[in-house]
Amino acid sequence: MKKQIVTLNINGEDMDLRIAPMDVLADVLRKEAGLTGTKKGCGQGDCGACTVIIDGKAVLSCLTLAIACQGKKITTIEGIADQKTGEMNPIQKAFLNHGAVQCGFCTPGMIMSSYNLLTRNPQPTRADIRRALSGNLCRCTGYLLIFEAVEACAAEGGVL
Amino acid sequence: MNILTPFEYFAPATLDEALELLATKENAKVLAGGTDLMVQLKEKMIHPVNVIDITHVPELNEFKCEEGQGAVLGACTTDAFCEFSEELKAKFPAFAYAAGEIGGPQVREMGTIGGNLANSGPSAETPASLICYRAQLVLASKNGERTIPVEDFITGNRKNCLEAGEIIKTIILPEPAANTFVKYGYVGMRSSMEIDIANMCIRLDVEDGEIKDAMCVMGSVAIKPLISEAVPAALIGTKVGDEEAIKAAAEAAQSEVHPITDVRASAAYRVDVIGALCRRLLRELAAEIN
Repeated sequence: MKKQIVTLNINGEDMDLRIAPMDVLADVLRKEAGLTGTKKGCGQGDCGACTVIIDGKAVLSCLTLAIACQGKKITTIEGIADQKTGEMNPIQKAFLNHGAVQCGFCTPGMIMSSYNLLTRNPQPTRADIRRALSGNLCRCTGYLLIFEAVEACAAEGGVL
Repeated sequence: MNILTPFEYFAPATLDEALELLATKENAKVLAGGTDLMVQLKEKMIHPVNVIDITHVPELNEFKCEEGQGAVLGACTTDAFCEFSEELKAKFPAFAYAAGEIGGPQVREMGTIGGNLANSGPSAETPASLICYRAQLVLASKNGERTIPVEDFITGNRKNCLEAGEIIKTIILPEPAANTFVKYGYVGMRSSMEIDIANMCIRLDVEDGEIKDAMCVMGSVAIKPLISEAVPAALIGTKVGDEEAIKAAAEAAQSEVHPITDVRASAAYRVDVIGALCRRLLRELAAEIN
């Protein structure tokens, strides 16, 4: 199947990318757009490592056809830092400050789910956080520190 | 980087366009969220030449839930929408709860109720509650529309009565009576991102504390949702919360299921779970009603 040039809006920028109909967004982000922050874990929709935000919803880029994202706003882990200064988003800082990162492979997905939660619900309970992150697996067993990082970020003014 | 077998992608903007594509494109699969279809494509379980993405069709995204009018959901209404809808939570709490227990948060933002039904997996979360709420499906093809109850839609393991070129257009939930109470429950290996070992939905129609009518639908214990005959027989005419009736109903449910042993649970454990779910749901219903 021939690739075609498709325009995707990623992190506020329109990018012309070579895409075939069967290319999944996770691959296009990593291989065509050069945005390797988004990780591919299971590739089956089970682990959440590939989580990105499309039109305000945290979704799985490994189960999303890239071609279906035309006209939508895609936000990746690279897009939540300050685009001018490069300063990290408060949720990224909170993960660092609370040691919520071990091997780091689940971290971009965890941060995108946390970011999306705090955008919608700036003062989540522990139960809200657990539920919002229930589709993100950490195999280093670091959940407690992750929950604490999200709580600290909320307490310190949130993500915006 | 590509692990999917090549296909052509279509994103129709209207229902007519979608039905025309379904009628004319050979070996086509419908994409209605993708949380099952994309996995099946990756696993090479299916090999479509054409993929028709119906999620942009406005008619399939409509939602109505007005007072006294039940609810009407376009097939591409997402699981997350149903989970968070205040109107659905108030009127159809067991369905909203079931929708909120599918996969994880990201899966629910992508997955759709029509997709969950059309996938017709034996462990699907939404059919049991939709059957208890007496939901109907409007099926559409280029040749017209027909309406059938959800209980007649699923015919077997990943089998349903959709004909070639036909899709689910709408899910119609009739207004529940004031004396109707419905509860859904499930047991899985973990609390999120699991596939149910067994699930169950029970509806009670109650007058003056007495059960006038009842329905019990069990999932993940047969090739399709199993509608109990023995549980209503054990419950109708008894008082809500009567422990003897609850025990009899649980035994009745267990007598009807003949589940399989698979990676998630043994057949014997599934039978135990069915009894426990039945008792749990009837006690929760009693606490809510009394």
